[in-house]
Formats: sequence, C-alpha cells, structure tokens
Amino acid sequence: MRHEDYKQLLALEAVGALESDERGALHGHLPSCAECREELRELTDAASALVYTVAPVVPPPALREHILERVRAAGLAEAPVDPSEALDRSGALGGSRRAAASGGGRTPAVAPEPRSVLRGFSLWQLLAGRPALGFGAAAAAIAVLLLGATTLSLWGRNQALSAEVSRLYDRLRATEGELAGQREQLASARDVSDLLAAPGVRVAELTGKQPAPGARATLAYDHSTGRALVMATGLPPCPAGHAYQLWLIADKKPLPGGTFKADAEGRARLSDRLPQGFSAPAFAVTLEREGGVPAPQGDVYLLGSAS
Amino acid sequence: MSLPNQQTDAEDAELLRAVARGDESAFARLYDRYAPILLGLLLRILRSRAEAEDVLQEVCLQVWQQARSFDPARGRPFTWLVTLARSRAIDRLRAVDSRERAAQRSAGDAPPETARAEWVDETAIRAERAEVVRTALEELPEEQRQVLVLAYLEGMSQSEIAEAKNQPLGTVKTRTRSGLKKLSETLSVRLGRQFA
Repeated sequence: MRHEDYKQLLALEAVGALESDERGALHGHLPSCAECREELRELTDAASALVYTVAPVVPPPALREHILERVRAAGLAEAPVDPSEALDRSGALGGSRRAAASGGGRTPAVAPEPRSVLRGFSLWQLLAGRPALGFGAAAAAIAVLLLGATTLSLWGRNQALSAEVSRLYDRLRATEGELAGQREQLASARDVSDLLAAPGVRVAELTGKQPAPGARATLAYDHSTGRALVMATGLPPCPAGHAYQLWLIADKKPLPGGTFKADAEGRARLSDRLPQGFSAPAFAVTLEREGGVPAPQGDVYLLGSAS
Repeated sequence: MSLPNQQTDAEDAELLRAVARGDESAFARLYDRYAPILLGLLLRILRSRAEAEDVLQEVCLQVWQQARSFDPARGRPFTWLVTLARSRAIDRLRAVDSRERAAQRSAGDAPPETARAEWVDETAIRAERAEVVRTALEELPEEQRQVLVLAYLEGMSQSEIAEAKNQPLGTVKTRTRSGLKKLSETLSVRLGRQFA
C-alpha cells in the first residue's frame, strides 16, 4: 500500500469500522508514521464527539456503590499482605487460591488534600473534646474479620470452617469480656498472630454516641497501606437513601472513607482503603446520604481512636 | 470556548494520574463526571439496560486497572474513556449478537436523534458543547452523517454498512473520511483546538 492508501483508512479506524486485514495493515504502518498517528488522533477526537448526540443516563446509586465497592476490592486484592495467602500456607482451607489481581504491584492510595471547609457540625465538636480511648481487647475478633473479609468466598466452600466462622461471628455481638475470652483460642492460630504482628497495624475500639449509645465497632488500620477493616454491632438500620460513612480523622480533619449499611441485626462490616501514613488516627462513623459525602454532615454514631 | 476545554482536559488528566496511584476518591470523582455520558453511549449501542450496566462495570474496572497506561501526550482523557467504553460495548455486541439485533442493524436506518432537551441536566459547558456538536453533525450531507452514526453508534463495520446501504466499499470509505474530516474541522473552529 502507498502512504496515501493508509491515509484513506484513518477515518474508518477512527469510527471503529475498519475490518481485520485493512486494520492489520494500518497498524503495521502507524508505528513508523507520525503524520498518520497525529491525523488518527484528531479524527478519533472528532469521532468521540459523536457521544454528544446521545443523551446521558445517570446510573442508579446502587450501581455506583457496587462499582466503587468492586474497585476497592480490586485495589485491596493487590495489597502486599493477603490473609488468604496465610491461610493457604497453613493448609487450613481446602479451597483454591484466590486469583491474584492483574496489573502488578499498585502503590498505596495517596491521601486526599486536607479539607478546607470547616463546618460546625457535631463531629467537629466531639473532636475538640476527644476522649482518650484505650486499645481494645478485641484484637482477636479483628483477626477473624481480617481473614473473613478477603476469604469469605473461599470459606463458604469449607463447611466446617464456615460453621466456625458463623459461630465466632455471633460471639462478636457479646460483651468485651466474651471477646477477650475468644482471644486465647484465636491467638493460638499461627496465621492470625502473624497478621496481628504485622508492623503498622493499629486496632481501635469505637464507642456509640448519642443516636446509638449501644453501638460498638472494632477497627483495624494498617497505616503503611491504608487498609482498614471495621466490624460494628448495635447500629440502627439506615433510613432510605442513607448509609453509614467511615472517616479517618487526622489533625482534627476528617478524611472520607467508604460507606456501608447495617444488617437486620445491627451488624455491619466494611473493608476499606483509607489514606495511609497516619500513625495515631481517630476514626468516626456518621450517617450520610447513600454514596457518601466529601465532608461529614450527619450525626456521629461511632467514635474512637487507636493508640 | 477553548479555555474550559483545556481546563477540563487538565483536570481529567490529573484525576487519571491519581487513579493510577490507587486513589479511590479520584476514581469516584471521575465516575461522577463521566458515568452518565458513558452509560448513555452504552445504552445506545447495546439497547439493553442490563447489558449497558454490565459493560459499565467492566469499563470502570478497566479504567481503574489501566489508568496507568493513559498517556496525555497521545490523546485526551475524554477520548480515551469514550473509546474504551465503545470498544467494550462493541465486543459485547459481537459476542452476544442476537438475531433481533442483527435485524435491527441491517435495516440500516439510524434511530431518531435524541431530543436536545435531555442534555439540559448536564453542566452548562457540556450542554453547550452538545449543541455545537449536534449542529455540526446536522450540517453534514445526509449520507456522510448516516455513515458516521452507523459506524460509531451502531457498531457496524465498513462492509456491513456497504451491504445495508447498498453501496460499494469505496463509497463508504470516502464518505466516512469526508464526513469525519469536516466534523473535525467544524468542531475545531467552533470549540477551539482541543474540543469536547
């Protein structure tokens, strides 16, 4: 083909109508021809403008949440510490190994810019008089959750373990004393203690505030990666169109985390990727509109800090 | 009108860079900005709500995982996103090509253009651009406009268009080229060097 012939193919390629043999020929030509590459770029820009003849359709909020959740899960699957690897090594599971996400090593999330909008909401007021909260004795329970969050699908296949998981899950609704009792059993599992020993993991206990004084949550936060796991109980159901939102509070500024809802028994679980690099953060859970907000507006339901 | 476009491009490129670093809130902002346009396109191509939403998920995951490969020197973020979405839609179209769909497409008649009013919910800048693009498209000769719409929004190949419109392949080729070059020139003039 002469150069002029290739030029005749560019518009068809730009609108996606070029067929295999001509397409192959054109793509063989492009690497060595800057003029054609430039023209193809311009024509592709023009073609993509055709999108403006189509009416936009706002996706439903549920789809947005689902997509953001999948994106988060895809991000977490590439994190360096994968509890499912620990389980496979110990032979505790018979299930197949969770397929590694494609794309290679992803650098941890960069913290978003500090919020410049300071509002006089209850969260801020609570921050001013923040009580010192101690290290929770529910570390063992968190280990179960850390494992559970990434391997629930595998555990579902192993009946003995899934029975164990539901039994332990039910126990988490009990008082702190009961949770401490569980600690000995779980701490004896080698993989669990390995995970807890990972540097940078902080565990925080969150207590319920006025709208739900009986609510509790335990949260594990790995400041080197920003990965966090929250397990909450005693949360009232969210009104329609609302969800709970997690916040990481550093230097009195709340940074937004993911959203979640409580189940019929008031339990909730969230695996999230928060901004990384905070060694002594506090955490809060507020009630916001579904889909989350960039700065907290709703009532604070849970508050606590890691030490 | 070129300034808002350059700004949008720069913002989009920054968002994509942040997404490539694993920044989920940047991804959410990109989603909020472009998901309605992309879902509209997917719906137009696939004509099925369920499939369009499915493909939107695939596109989002692909953007999340491949944001690293976006090179601002080689094109605009908007074009990258739209091209990616369109490709996934065409893949799906070809994989699940039902008899019904094939019949629709071979009829070769482009469906009526969607009403102008439907863009008013979008930001003022985008609504303005939509108006300019529609006008530019309407100024093209009928047969050039048709070929562009059949190829880009119906996903028809050169030979499928030739067969549907009973034209030689060469005619489809020249009409596509003339139409797209004219559209490109018109939009450059009316929207500035880098548009949409």
